[in-house]
Amino acid sequence: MPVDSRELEHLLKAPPEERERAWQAFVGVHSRLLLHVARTAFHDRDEAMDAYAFVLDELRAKELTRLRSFTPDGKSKFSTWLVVVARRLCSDFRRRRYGRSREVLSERAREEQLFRRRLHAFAGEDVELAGLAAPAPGVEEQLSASEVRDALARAVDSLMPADRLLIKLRFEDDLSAQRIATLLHLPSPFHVYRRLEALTKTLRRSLEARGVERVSPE
Amino acid sequence: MERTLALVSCRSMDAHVSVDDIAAMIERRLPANRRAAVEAHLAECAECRREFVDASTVVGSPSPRSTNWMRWVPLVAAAAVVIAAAPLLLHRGASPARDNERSATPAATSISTVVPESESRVASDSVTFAWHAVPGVATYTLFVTDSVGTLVFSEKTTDTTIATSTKLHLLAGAPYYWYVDALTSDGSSITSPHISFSVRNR
Repeated sequence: MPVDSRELEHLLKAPPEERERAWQAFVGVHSRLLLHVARTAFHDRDEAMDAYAFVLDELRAKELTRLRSFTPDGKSKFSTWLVVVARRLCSDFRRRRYGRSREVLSERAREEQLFRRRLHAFAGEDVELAGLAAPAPGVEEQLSASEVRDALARAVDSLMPADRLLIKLRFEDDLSAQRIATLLHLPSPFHVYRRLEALTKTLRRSLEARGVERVSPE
Repeated sequence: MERTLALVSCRSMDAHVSVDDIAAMIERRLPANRRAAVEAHLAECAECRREFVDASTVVGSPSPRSTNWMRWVPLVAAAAVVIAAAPLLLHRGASPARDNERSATPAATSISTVVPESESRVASDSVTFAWHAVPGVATYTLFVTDSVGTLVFSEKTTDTTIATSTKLHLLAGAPYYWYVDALTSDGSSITSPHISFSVRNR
């Protein structure tokens, strides 16, 4: 078992009469990390506190079922695993408190629209698709724009998974190249830019192969 | 519906990515075939992607500072915990927060540079790049780029210094960046900050 799960090991092996003390030791060691997760998920202090309490309750529930599901197989440290569990529990807490609101759904729709617009501007720049964003297009132009978006979606779908993820992180989540480089373990932001540039060319070729240039403004 | 217990259908996979896979993805320890499947799901599923981004941020960030509210939150939310755990914590002889800092942060996440320092001006014919050694790293790669990221020089070394007296042709006054990249013994990639420098006019 990884060295950073010492308190977990004590907790899971503790006999019933020692369980409370072992739990307290576990919380004492990991509370700061769990609070950090709650604070990241909820910017409001009270909400973060409630989420933190919820996370603790859920970790302890059902005879520590969640904590017992950690497998010390070397794929990740316990602290990393715990962060992911806590982050997921924070999502559960949010859903339990607010439900899947219309706001969330509309936010997703907005993000999707934003993604398509950004990617469209990025990939379509050199194939003269800017006219598609012109105000008050006619019906024919709108249909053409829709076709282009579908072609673009298909082109993105045909990329390798790692490249699709890179595209989504940049254009849908609007993360910086520096942040993406850190997330994907790339050496530098320049590597992100170079990869995006190569992907842009690929998408451009794919769009042209699908006859996208037909909708270019005359 | 709770994602932790119930798996929700998603277009590219039958269910959301497991906690184990997200954690392994963060630490870059997924086998290639599994990683491709996880990346495909993350590209498709905004919810899992957000979880991956947020969790990576927490794992990769320095341990949180003790703001006023964070100081009293654990005391209020788990007062019994702190009181009852005091003997144990004292017995441990170390701050639990410090232990947690260690557990949440990888042993080495960056390479510390020495020279050229940021914003420094160097002689064009004898640039020496130096950085601090990182335990567990056998080979470093030095990269020098121009201001738009075009690579102008790179070299591998087992040392922590590279002198580029005759190998580097840089324009006087133009901004350049250098950084060092390395693979640790556990297979993860670490890099130094990008350090800007320029070359003096002859």
